[in-house]
Amino acid sequence: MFNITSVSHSYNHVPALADVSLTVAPGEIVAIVGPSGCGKSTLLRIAAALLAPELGEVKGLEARPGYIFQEPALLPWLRVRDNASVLAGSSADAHFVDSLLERVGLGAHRHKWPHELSGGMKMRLSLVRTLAARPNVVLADEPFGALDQITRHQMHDELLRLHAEQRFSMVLVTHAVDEAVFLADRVLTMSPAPGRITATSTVSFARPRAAALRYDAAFAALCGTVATTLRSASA
Amino acid sequence: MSASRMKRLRAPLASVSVFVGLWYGLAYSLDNNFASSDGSALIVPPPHRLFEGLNSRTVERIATATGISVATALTGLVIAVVLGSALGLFMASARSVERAVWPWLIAMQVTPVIVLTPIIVRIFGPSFAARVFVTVVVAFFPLASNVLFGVRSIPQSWRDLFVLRGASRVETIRELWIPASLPSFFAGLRISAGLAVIGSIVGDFFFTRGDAGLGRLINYFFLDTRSGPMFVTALIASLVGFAFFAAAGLLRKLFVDPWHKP
Repeated sequence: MFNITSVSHSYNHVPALADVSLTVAPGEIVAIVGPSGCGKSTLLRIAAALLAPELGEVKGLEARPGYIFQEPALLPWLRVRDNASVLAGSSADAHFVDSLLERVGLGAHRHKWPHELSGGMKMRLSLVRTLAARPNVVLADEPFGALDQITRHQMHDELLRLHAEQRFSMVLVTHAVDEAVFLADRVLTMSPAPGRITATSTVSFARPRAAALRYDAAFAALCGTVATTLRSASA
Repeated sequence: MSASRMKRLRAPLASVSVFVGLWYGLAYSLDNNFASSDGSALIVPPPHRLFEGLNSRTVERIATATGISVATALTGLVIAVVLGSALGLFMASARSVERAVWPWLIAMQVTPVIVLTPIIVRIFGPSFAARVFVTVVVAFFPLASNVLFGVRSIPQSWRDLFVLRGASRVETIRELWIPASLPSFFAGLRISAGLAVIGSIVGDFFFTRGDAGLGRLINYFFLDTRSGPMFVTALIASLVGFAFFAAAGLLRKLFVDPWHKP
């Protein structure tokens, strides 16, 4: 379990986050939705220790959490296989990395350069790179925002399969309400800057979640509820 | 020859034709360009008479001078690569370092070499080492500046990756800074390669001990009013510059082009 307690931050005296607290249980996926500029990414960077908060603290998080960026952020001078091991560094388990690449359909592409991959393949490689370091916690900052809908749904299924195997905790920042509801156990709604958590929606659909869930009436109803909360928070 | 290759060659061939035309125009329009006694060109020989007055002794001298200038330029360029890259990385390590070093770099770049001549002679003597020093001074600025630019242009997400991994400073420089700055390094190398040849020839004019390089030979033919050999020597100096430029491009093709698709 890890806790973010009373975190506040500002940029050039403009408040970005105000008194945000969050607890994530082992294996839990928490999604955060909110309008642009509400401090979601700032919260994630603080959690990953990439940014020091002005107030508050992060406790119980391992030294090196997994982090998935908005863009794949692949190193262009490394081939697919080497990019997959970048975060794990010298401790990378070659067999594990290869098995992850196979799992996401990149096994046959391991000797390619990043520029030879499609957008979806790049994002899958970014996911493998994060999981290859065997993190207990994964922080994901709108990782699928730039993908088309079909590829995004494929990535969701991939992520849930890997989560079922590795049982990492995850904080997922996203703009897409359906993505948040499909992947998460809880969806937190943030207000415009300075960002505060204004509502929590519990998602009780059983796991493993099948693709058909997206067309379920209960799923649509919950998406509607979260979207309404989001609209009222943004008003 | 394929049609696409022909198409690619069209523009360079056109520019060479224009150049040769202008050359002929200049040679025949200059007053008193040809000596009346033997009809030899005094200022600019027309292209077809360029090789008049080249005997085996002159060819041998030009060949020796070319070897010396190539050695000077290559030695200077290698030193400039090492020093320039190291300085670029050093400046990239902190803004305060950049602010402290940058003005001196610019000052060194814009100071005329002639001002430094007495100091260089005092330290290196007036021969090969002095010419190499001038070459280094002329060639290393684009390398330092481009390596600095390359490191400064690294996206935040790549930097974050190495922070998340807990990489040491040395690992970050070796695995991130150096490869990420390679494209701009090679852009700088192409400029520096040409400058190194210029530096080796300029150095020849100031430091005249030891074997003569192309610069000194050009000066010799100039004083001897042998415009044909002078232009041949200048042409060879240009070809050496082209070769250096092309070699830098080839290295880039080998080490960067396979993965760098801007």
